[in-house]
Order: sequence, then C-alpha cells, then structure tokens
Amino acid sequence: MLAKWLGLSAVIAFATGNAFAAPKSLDTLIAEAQKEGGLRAQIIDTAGPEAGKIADAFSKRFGLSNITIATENEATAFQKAETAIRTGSAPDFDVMVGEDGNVFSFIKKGYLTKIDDWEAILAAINPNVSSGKAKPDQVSPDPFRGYGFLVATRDESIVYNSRLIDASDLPKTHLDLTDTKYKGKFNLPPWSTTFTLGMLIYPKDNWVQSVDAIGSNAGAVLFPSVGLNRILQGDFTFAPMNYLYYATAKAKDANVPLGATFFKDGIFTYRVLYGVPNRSKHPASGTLFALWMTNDESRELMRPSLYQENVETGHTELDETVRASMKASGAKVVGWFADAKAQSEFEWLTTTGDGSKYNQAIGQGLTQRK
Amino acid sequence: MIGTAPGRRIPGARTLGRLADQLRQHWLPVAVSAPMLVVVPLLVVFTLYMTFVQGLPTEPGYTIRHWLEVRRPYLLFTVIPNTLILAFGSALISLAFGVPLSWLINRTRLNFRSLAVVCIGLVVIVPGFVQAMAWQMLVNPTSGILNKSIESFTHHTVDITVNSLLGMAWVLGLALTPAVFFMVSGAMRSLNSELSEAAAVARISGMRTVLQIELPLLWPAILGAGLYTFMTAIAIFEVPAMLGGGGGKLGVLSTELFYAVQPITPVPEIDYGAAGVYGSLIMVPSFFAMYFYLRALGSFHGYAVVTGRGYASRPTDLGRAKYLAIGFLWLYLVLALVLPLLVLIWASLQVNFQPLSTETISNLTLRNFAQFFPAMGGWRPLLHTMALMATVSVAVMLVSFMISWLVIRTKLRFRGAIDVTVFSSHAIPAIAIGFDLYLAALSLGRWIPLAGTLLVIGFAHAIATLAPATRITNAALLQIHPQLAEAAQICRARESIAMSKVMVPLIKSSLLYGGLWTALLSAREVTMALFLVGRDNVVFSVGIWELWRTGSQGLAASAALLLLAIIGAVAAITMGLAKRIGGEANGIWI
Repeated sequence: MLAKWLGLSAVIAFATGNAFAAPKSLDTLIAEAQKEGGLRAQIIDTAGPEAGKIADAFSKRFGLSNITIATENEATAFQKAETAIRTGSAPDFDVMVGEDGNVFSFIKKGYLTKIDDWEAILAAINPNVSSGKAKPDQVSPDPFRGYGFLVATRDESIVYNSRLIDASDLPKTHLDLTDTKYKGKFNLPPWSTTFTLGMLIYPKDNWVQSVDAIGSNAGAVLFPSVGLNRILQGDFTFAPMNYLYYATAKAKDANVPLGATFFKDGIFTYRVLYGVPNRSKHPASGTLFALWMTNDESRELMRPSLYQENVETGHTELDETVRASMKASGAKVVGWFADAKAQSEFEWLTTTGDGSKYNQAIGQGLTQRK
Repeated sequence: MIGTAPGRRIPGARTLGRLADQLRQHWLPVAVSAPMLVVVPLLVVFTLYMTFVQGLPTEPGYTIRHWLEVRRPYLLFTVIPNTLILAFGSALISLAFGVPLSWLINRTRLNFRSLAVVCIGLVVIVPGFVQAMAWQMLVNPTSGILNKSIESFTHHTVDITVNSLLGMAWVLGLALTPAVFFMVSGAMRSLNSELSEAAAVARISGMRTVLQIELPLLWPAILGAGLYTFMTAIAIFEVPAMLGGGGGKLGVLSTELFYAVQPITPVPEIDYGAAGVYGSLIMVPSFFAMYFYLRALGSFHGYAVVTGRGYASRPTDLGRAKYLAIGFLWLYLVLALVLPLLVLIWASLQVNFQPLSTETISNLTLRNFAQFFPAMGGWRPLLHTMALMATVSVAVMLVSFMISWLVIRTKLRFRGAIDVTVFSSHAIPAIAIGFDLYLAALSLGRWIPLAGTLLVIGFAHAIATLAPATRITNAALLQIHPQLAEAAQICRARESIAMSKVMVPLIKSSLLYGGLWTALLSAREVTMALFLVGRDNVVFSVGIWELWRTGSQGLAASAALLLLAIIGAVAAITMGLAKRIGGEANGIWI
C-alpha cells in the first residue's frame, strides 16, 4: 500500500515537474554556477573603483571564473533591463542592485526571478544569518521575499559644513527648511524619491505645499556628489542627503570639515536590494552573488570608495554608529515598505493617475520646474 | 533603359532616366554616402514617432498627451525662452573668440601658432562639467575667487555669478569656441592672398581689407560655424545641469529631456513620449537655423577663390599689434584651458574636493594617479577610446568628403536634400541618437549582435560628428573653383581620379583638421555612450563621467588629465603629419 502511494506520488510529482526535487543546497548552486562559466554583476555605482577587488573575492570564495563586475546608475540600469526584457533581449546584468522601489516594481511586473530554497543557501553564505544575528526574513523581507535581498540602507541625514554652521543652528525638521533664515543656504537633489516619503508623516496636501516652499527656499538643485563639493567649498552650508556621502568623505579624510545629523520629524530611508532579473544569462552565478553581497564582509569590500551602512541587518562598526545616531535622534524611520499602510501609499503613488500627479507635484515643487 | 510605346511617354520617365544617369555617373560618392543618408532621416522620424507612443516605442498604443504637456506655462515661458537665450548667447561668445583666433592663427605671422592650435584642440577635450566647475569656483558671490579678489580692492560686495543664463552662455561659449575655430580655419587657410595683396597695392588699410574683403568671403564658413554652435548649445546638457539648469528658474530643454529619460521618481520609468517631445522641440530651432544656413549657402559659387592658378595663401604681418593679438590668444587660453586645467590638477591631488588653503595643501596626494586605472577596470576603456578616435575620424572624413562632393561638385537633382539631410543630424540631440540606437540595437539583437559593441558607439559618434565634418569639407570645396574639377573632366579623368588627384591634395589640410576635430569629439563624447555601453565596450569618457558622478572626483580628474595628455599627443602628431604632407606653400601654421 505504502509502495503504491509512493509510486502514485512520484507520478504526480513527475507530471508537475517536481519529481523528488530536493531542496537546492549551496553546493548544487555552486556547481550550476561553475557550469554557467561566467557572471556579469552590477554593484552600487559609487563602489565602481572597487570592482576588481570584489570580483576577485567572489571568484575565490566560490571557485568561479570569468566574473565581470561593473557599475551603472542604478535607475538607468533598471530602465535598460526593463527595455531589454520587454524587447526580448537579455539584460546587461545577470544580477542587479537597486532601491526598494525599483526592486518592488520589477517584482510586480514579473521581471525578477524567484530564488528557490533561498533560506538554506543564505544561511550557508551569510554569517549574520547562520549566527542568528539576522533572520532570513530580515534579509529578504516582505514584499521582497525570495526575490530581493537586502545589502544596505540609505538613510537621509543633514550633511553640513562644520566651519560654517553649528549643529544646533541646523533645521530640526523638514518643515524648518521653509524658514527664510535658511534661504539659499542649502542645496537639494534633483529627484523626488526621498521627499515623497514626507507624505507618510504629514498630510498629503500640506506636504506638497511644504515641498514647494522648501524648493523655493533652496539655493540650488544639484546631484548630491556635486552638492557635497559645494558644501566643502563653502557655497552652501548644508544639504539633506544620504548619510553615506558623509561617511565616505569622512572615512577618506577625517579632517574634512563635515558633520551629519538627522531630522527629528522622520528619517527617510530606502532599502538597497539585490535581485536576479529574468533572461539573466547566468542565473545561478547571479543568485550566488546576490546572496553573498548580503554579507557585512562583502559590503566592506566596497570601501574606501563607499562607506554604506545597513542599519537593518548589518553589524559593522559603521552600522552600529549610524543605528545609534538614528536612535538618539528620536526620529521615526520612514520607508515605503515599513508596513502595509506605507506600501499601499507607495502603490497609490506609482500605479494611479492621482499618485502620478502627486509625485509630479513633489518633483516640480522641489526643483521649482513648474 | 525604360521602354515606351511609340508616341507615348510615361510621366516622369525622362526625369527618372536622367536621375539614373546621374547616379551611375557619381556611383562612388553615392554608394559611400548612402548608409548615412538613410539612417539620419530614420532617426528624425523615429524621434518624432516616439512623441506619440504610450510606453516603449516597440510596443503598440498611441497618444497625443505628450504634446499637450507642451502647453505648460513653465515650458512655454521659461524653458523655451531660456534655451534660445542660452543658444544665441553661446553662439555669439564662441564667434567672438573663435573667428579672431582663427584669423590670427591662419592669416598672420603670429609666433607659436602650432602650439596655440594644440592648446585650442585641448579645450575640446576638457569635459564641459569640468569647465562649469572651474567657473563655479571662480565666479560666485559666496566663495568665488574673482568675486573675493574684486571685493578686496573695492570693499563692496560683488554679486556676479555663473549660475545664470549669461553665466551658462559664457561657459558654453568658451567651450564651443574650438568648434568655430576649426570650422572656420579650413576656409581661412584656403583664402587666396592675391586678394589682400591687391588691396595692399590699392593702399587699402589692413582693417578694411579684413572687414571688406576677407570677412565677406568667409561668411558662409562663419555663419555655418555660428549656426553649428547655436544648434550644439541647444542640446548640451552638462553645463546647464552644473550651473543651475536642474532648478526651475534656469531650466532649458536639454535638462528637461534629461529628466524625461532619467528618473526623478521613486519608481524610475522612462517617459519615452516626453523624451521624444523635448527632442523634437530641440530640433525645431535647429531646423530653422539650418534653413538660414542653407539659404546663405545658395550663392556659394560667389565665394570660390582658389582657381589653381598661382594659388598661394600668404600670412599678414601684424606689426606692433601682435602683442595685442598674443594677449587675446592668451586671454582665451587662460579662460578656457588653463583655469579648468588648474581645477583638474587641484582635484586630482585631493581625496575630497576642497578649496585652496594651507590645510588642504598639506593634505595633497598623488594616490589618485595610481588608482584610476584599476577603478575603471584596466586599460580597455582607454584602448576602446583610441580605437574609436582612429576609426571614426577616418570613416567620417571619407563619408563627409563624398557627401560634400555630391553637394558642391555635382549637379545632382537632390543635392540640396542631401545637404539638408546630413546637416539635420546635428539637430538630433545626442541623448536621442543614443537612445534611438540603443533601442535599435536591442530590437535587432536577434539577428545582428550590435548591442554592447564598439561598432554601435562608433556609429553613434559618426552620426553626431557628420554635420560638423561636412561643414568643414563643404567650406573647403566651396573655396576650390569649379574650373579645376572641370579641367579634370575635360581630360576624361574618372570621378575618383578627380577627387583623389585634384581635390584631396588641395583640401588635405581641411581634411586633416576635420579628422582631428572628429577624433577629439569622439574622445570626449559621453551622452550617447552612456546609453550604448555594455560589458565589452566601455569607453574612457564614460569611465571618467561615472567616477565623477559617483563622487570620486580625484580619480576622475587624474583620468581626465591622462586623456588630455593623449589628446595633446594626437594633436601634435597630426600637426607633424600635416607639416610633412602639406608643405609650406599650403600651410601657414604647420
């Protein structure tokens, strides 16, 4: 009877294509990757100068060859990958990195590959997971579970020239940026990605008006790396930008006259995740790379070009410092995927006509392109 | 042969027959030019087509909503006027520097002319964002070196800034001056000195000779160069972006186009339709400019001054005015080359970019020079750039010469259309060319593996440089009297012989400098390459841009300095080559 039942089960499993599918192990994945014979991986663009070091370390760890690590503006890479997938071609990268919004939209559109048995493989690769310091569902949290793997966080701070202003004179909240005493003293980035998060802590309509006032109070709209230079030159006193710009500049030269602090009304945060796009030419190698990059040690290979924190699952000295500073600020961490309500607001913003208009209004207010 | 029934004619048959005869007669230039003449209109049409797509241009679904967006007051009353002011301002400034420089270097006995040409060539390679950054450091109310210097003398606040339309036009005008210089130089060098000598015999003053004899003869070349810079300035992104175009008050069409193809939202989506609209809006004034240019070209035979009989181009002695001339030359080189170069050197010696102070001087380091190659992934990007410079310049000058031959030297019925078609390539914004070719390479990927190759970048460079190259070859051929080619025809020489034995030797210096100019443009181009780079075709300019954009300014600056050194060497070799093949009779500063 048991033999019959097992036989029937086998037939059903075979018919559904899962005949005795054993959970994939790290060794199996490595063997598949070695068979693929190559990888084209994307890394966070600021870490470009460390690409060779990362490729060598990855090759050595898994015995793989023909590894190419390259950088591209994350958003551009996602756009190009989408174009490639939609025109029936293979994307440039076998494994991609991007902010949570990009990754989520790729999952929704069906452009990312689900990784089978990722928990077991992750535990075998990531020491934080195997030691219990981080749980698998923190590394691949909902709604990214099995598709996107957390490597870092981007946390908005106020970066300032410590020779020009005292920390106590800086704006305390985002709304303080509308104060005329700061007119022309700060610069803003040209994109609305960070500032749209304000709608999660302020009433939507009020926030649009506030952003408009912030935009008209700003001295210039500049890319953050350029904005940081202008702060160092003394043209601007401060700018809201991700903490990584401060950490990287300070790590390169401890004497640089920069300081960083956090707004009290909310810390706008993005997760940075890895995923394997559809039509990837080397999916097994891409999977290995995505999971391996979740390690603290892998992230540290991006130094000195990039000092990037991970306040959710990371345990480096930088992670602990930023986590402690954020906690000390007493501000709430605000992200699109922190809870179901925030996620539904994100979906409203990115999939509905009203959301699109709202987003446009934030962008126009910030840059005053209206 | 077209067969007809006795007594009956097929309408247009005679015209077609004549056309076929003409095509047969000029088969070589037609065959060489044909691919570009097909691709350029396709790109214009595709860009226009993009304005009506809902999503990806390769997918179904059309809309006019992108055009309706144009009615926005911001676009009508801020962006478009800003763009026109910037383009006119830049063209005027580049002409104000470029034409006198070209005259001084090509038509006078000024010392160190070869060196000056190399230096002007180097200006081309200084990335626009570096020029903008240098000027930002020099002129701004809070920390500008110039502002502070003036304030220390006058004890008054100096509020001048480059973060304005005028400031942008100034920086762009300086950056585009080499374009005017190179485009006008061919015609300057070919100008027959017999005319000015005749003026001297008639006791006409030097200034009157320049203004009343030489300038009128040169005006098609000057107008062409002015219109070229006007069209270029409309589409340039990096300088406006660095000097405030990212903000609303100083927005121009190129920054709007950038926002359409680069994400500023939480989920980046390329707005293909809006990108098409902005691309089309950039094309409109460019097509107007082209119309005026072609009208000016209509009477080109009046400007032919090289007949082959006793042709010589002799330089003018400036006398004591040479000091003024040298001062003018140095003023330009300091503003456009020395200053940005100093900023580059300063940036290359620092880990974090900071202004000059005793503290920063003590922290200077050379480590960026050791690190930028590994940071870019080795030598390959540099080798790719050098390969592109060599192949694109040769290919473009060959095609340009053939096209100019058809336009200037033949009686082909549609030669005007050929010139319009080629010149219209310059009206297509670089971002649009890059994007169109990127989509084409992906779509054709199943049959032809073009995506991610150097070939596709080279093709994009060829399209983008074809217009300036043909302006150079057009201007050069315009100066050669038709009698020379007609003499070759009378001797029953084949067209290819007339080209290679008669025309090419007479305009070889123009071809050489056109090639140099094309190579320089190819070396510094970044906008198109950003769309077209893949695993195997990364070029040096993109490497520098990426390092700069991601905050490694020191590495980017040291890499840019290497590129400048290479370009300087290429320019010097070209000069040496020109001297060997050109000889003294045909050359002034070689």
